[in-house]
Amino acid sequence: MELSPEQAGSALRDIARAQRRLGIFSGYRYAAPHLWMWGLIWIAGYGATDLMPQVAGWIWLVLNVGGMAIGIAIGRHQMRTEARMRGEPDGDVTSMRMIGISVAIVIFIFATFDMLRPQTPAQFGAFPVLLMGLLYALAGLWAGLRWSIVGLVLSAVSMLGYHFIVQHYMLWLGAAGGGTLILSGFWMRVR
Amino acid sequence: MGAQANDLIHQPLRLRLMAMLNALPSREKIEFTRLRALLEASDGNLGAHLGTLERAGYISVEKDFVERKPRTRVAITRPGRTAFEQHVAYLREILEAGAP
Repeated sequence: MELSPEQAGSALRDIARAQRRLGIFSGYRYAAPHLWMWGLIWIAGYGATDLMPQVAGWIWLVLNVGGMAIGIAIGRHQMRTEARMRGEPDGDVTSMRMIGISVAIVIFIFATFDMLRPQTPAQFGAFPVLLMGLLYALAGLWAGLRWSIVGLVLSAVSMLGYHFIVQHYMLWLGAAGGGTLILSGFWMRVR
Repeated sequence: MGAQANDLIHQPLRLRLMAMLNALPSREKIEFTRLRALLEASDGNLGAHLGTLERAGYISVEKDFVERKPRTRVAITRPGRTAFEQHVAYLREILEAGAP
């Protein structure tokens, strides 16, 4: 077989593209249960915020801590399952990166609330959704276009409701924001 | 030129298939349906190429049942990894030899 440098280069690019595609779609698959969980948390959290605004802070504290713990458990289960598929012992299945990301996001949100001090409940409610929209949109630049689309939809949901669904904004964030995450989880599993 | 070309692997779909299997961790298997979707290939086309690679000893194909549904899983073999890596080395040599 005689190949030109151009043909060799093209083949190497095909290899890189194939491996990247595998990585992207594997990432989508692993993300799905996390998106479902956080979608349900947003529905519960924003719904409870609308019904019981006086205790919203405590509700979100419990939901966020619970969500992070469940997310870590889901991640560990996924890594254990992979290890078993390879016939390997479980080993260390704790994802320090996931823990680090979750902690960093929470600290950023609390620091922002403390320093920039949103003036209205709607601003408090909108900020996490806008933040996750931004993070997903940026993540998509490396981790696959679907993340960017999810991020843009979340941002749009937040801004649309803020301007046009003022009276029931928390319910809107729960239903539309949480619903976006849940539907995104199903989309991530579509090949 | 030290590395060897591999005509069998170099076929476009087989090249991408081997690239994906080589990217999986050692001994990890991938389901036929997932591979088909990732490669955007038809059942028949992918099946034919898997047969070719299996006969060459480059991949293993395992069939079983999950909840009474048939499942086919594919993994790269050690000779398959070696052959793929040698072919990649060959491609890189060609590219470097042709670089200005």
